[in-house]
Amino acid sequence: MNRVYSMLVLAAIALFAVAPVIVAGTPVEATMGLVQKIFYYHVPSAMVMFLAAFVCGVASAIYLFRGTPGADRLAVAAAELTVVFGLIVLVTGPLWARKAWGVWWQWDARLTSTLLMWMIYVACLLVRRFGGPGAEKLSAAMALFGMANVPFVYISVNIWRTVHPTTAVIPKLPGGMRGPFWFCVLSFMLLFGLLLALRARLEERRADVEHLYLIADHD
Amino acid sequence: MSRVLMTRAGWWIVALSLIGAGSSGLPAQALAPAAQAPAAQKAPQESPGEFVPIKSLQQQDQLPAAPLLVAAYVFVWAVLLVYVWTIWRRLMKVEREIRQLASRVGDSAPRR
Repeated sequence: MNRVYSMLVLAAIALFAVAPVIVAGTPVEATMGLVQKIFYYHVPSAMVMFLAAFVCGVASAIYLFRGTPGADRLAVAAAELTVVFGLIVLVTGPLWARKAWGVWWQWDARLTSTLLMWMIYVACLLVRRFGGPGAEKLSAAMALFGMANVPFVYISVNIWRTVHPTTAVIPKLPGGMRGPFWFCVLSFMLLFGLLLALRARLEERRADVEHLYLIADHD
Repeated sequence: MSRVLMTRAGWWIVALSLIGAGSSGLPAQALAPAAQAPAAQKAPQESPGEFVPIKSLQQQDQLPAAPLLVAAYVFVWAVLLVYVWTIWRRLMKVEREIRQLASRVGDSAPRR
């Protein structure tokens, strides 16, 4: 298991290191120019953020209804990763927008709903950290609410008139952009899987510490 | 008591008025007439309100894309590296605690 994990880590690092080189070779977009290349990290980060929110929501539901401690550990790990990748999305997006739209931020449906979803998961982590006894269940309930936001955030660009590009962009990518884009998606997904496993492992070891404290106090 | 309340209410009114004046840009508005004079003198030579397509802008007026692109990629790498480092640091701390507890539990186990 450790050997497989180590190989996956090396693969993720290699993919991630090669991604900028591949992106540098992609064609320059006609209207937005060079700044459009932020797309190759911005969109995969958003996809991973949605996936992390979904994993967190499902794990939270299992913890709430079955009380499985492993599900709670997975939920914490996924919530943290939702915040991390959400931060990447919310920073790379405005960097792209400053050049493409002329403004750092627009209070349109996609950007606003993404920010709100990110804040829900920040709140989940704060509740777990400072909520005291029983905070795990409250945080799990918040994570369910956060997961319910994911489809709304995704389809917001199709329903409301927004300045953000619609979901129709990805299927219509030209050939020169499609390959590098999906390469970056694969890199980010692999990285997400590894970070999730690592973070869940940390929670597992923390649970072992608590168990040992109980044994030590009993003795 | 009512005098104290009136004083406090008065302070709130003054504070809110100052905040409102500041946000409405009164200092900027005060400076605007002075700024308008040179602008009015320049009006026959250029009209600053006229729309100029971005492709027609001079090079020095266009926003450079490269710094934004580099900043985005550097930020992504920095965030991920910092996050991995924080996980590693927390994991090392927990592993150390486990070793200490395990030795303590091992020492206190009843000897037969």
